[in-house]
Amino acid sequence: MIIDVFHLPESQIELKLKLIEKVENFKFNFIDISKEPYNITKNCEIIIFEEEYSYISSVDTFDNIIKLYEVFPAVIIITAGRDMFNVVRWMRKGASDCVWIGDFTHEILKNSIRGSLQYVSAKKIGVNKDFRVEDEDFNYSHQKIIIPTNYDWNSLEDNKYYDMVLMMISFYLDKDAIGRYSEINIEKIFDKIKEEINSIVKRFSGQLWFWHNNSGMFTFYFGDCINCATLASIYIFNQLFLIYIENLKLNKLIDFKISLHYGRAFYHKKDTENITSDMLNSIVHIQNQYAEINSLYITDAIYNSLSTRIFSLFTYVGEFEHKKIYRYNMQSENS
Amino acid sequence: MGISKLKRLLSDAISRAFMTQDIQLFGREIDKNLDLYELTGFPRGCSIPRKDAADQIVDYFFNTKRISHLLELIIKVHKFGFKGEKVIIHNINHIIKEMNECGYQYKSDLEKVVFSESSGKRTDWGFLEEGKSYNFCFISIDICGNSKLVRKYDSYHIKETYKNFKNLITKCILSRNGRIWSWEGDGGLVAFLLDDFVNNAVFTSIDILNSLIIFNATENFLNEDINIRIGINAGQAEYKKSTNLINSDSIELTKEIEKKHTEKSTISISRHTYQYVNALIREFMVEKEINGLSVYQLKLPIWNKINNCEGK
Repeated sequence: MIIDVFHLPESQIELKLKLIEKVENFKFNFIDISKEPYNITKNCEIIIFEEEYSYISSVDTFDNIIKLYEVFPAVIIITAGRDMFNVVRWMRKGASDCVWIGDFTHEILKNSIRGSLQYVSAKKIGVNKDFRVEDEDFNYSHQKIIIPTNYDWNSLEDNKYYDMVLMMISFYLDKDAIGRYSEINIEKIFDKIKEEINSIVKRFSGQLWFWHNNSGMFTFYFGDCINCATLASIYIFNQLFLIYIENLKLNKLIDFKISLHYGRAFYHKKDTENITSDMLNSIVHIQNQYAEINSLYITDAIYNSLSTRIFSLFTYVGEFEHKKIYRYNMQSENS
Repeated sequence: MGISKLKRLLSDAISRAFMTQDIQLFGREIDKNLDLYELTGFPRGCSIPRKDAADQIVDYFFNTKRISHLLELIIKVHKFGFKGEKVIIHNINHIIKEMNECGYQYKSDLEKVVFSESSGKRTDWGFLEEGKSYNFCFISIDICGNSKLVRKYDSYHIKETYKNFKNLITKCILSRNGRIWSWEGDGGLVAFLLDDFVNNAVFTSIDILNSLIIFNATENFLNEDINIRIGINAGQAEYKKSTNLINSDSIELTKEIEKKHTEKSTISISRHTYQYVNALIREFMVEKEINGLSVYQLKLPIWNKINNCEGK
């Protein structure tokens, strides 16, 4: 796996890392902080950043570097000082680890990178597929999906952009069903379906954002939101069969579609009718123009960050609006 | 207090509600050979005081462990009368209250007095009798390749993973009124009895397969997915308190279907059980011959079948 290393001019860490590179399966892309423009690895998931003197003196450079990446990578900070408050500041900034340059040994860096991989999954950032294949046991054991329990949806502010997963679910009644059920019954059925899905989504730390007629939009933001949302969607996909027959006692199944996309979405708790964002448009387009009925689709923004425990449940089916689309089919490699 | 109070209340209720000859008829609803003269020791032809007759009959059913039948009959008589006559059991509320305190409970949907399950689910659903045969729907569940897993991983990880797996299974089963009758670490036998028991077994099995995907992603401590096989078969078995000792041809067939005639991550249902399955679910089952036995197979995602059928 490629790790971008942002180092100070004439830094010692380039030498140290090159020694590690020979032993481990890591490949380092060394970038001198003083020489812009930076030749970064676009989809890099872990970066190492060498601090100049302290957090204060380096944070602006750090911010500029982070903006270059499509998805916030896991960050290992190499620091010269041992000031605890300095470390705390970096961790608050989103760093996954802070290593003192004096402690910089092969073992410490290896553990830091491996620890950051776990952090990656907790921060919704996946590891690339090549790495998954190289050490299957390690990847499987370290990619256990953790569903967050301590979160507060009220911490999200209105009229701001957030990196989140949107899950869209739509239901389609055929013409016969419209004749078979009264309008009130159809409303009751959709209400019950909404209630059941919402209770599942909550178990996976998501929330119902809005529901219009036969479609609902759910959001996942906290913890490993990509994997939590994907798990929730798989569970809903399979559970809908039971919801229809066991809970709703329907004698005909209702067609549905589920689509998932991850990206930066404009958020407002209540004023959902006036919200527009590329993210929202994308998922609506996928759902309405691409998805087939009784199917679950995810975009590459989701697929690339899936845990090794579930990524084999999806297969590539094509491209739509410059996004690779994958479909859930449960034809797992190991089944 | 407790049983003696309940006995006293029952005896009081019976002696107030019936004449002596009706007390005998009342008792014969439970035991058709019941003879009050034999029970009380009064010579035939003598009239037996109502109180003595009631006391004896209550004692008799307590001693022969048919207390639940007696309670059931009292409640039924209070609700529907006896031999076409309206009967008022004046202390019925006291009887029901005392009955609940003694660990019994009246289930109106079953019209049965059962042992209360408030302190934990019972393998007899509160009313099965030792040695009697009932119709059940059985599920046999097993983790595929258990012996390989046990050899490959250390006991701590196996133990924790299997413990979580059992918790998952238990949750799915209890929510549909099933009971685990035997469990051996990597799988076991589950029985369903009440309500729509065949469909409940099928719903549970689908739920387990679906929940297993979540389990593997979030609770599995091993370095690989756990896969299971599920066999379903309905049939008779004689109930025993030691449920792990219960055996019958139906149970044997359930286990055999799961072990020999079920593919990994699928559910196999015996041919004769298939006819009791919800018609809509039946549409998604595929008849398949596996190792010489024809079974009906169900696998996730069920929707794939619709899409395949529609040629999508």
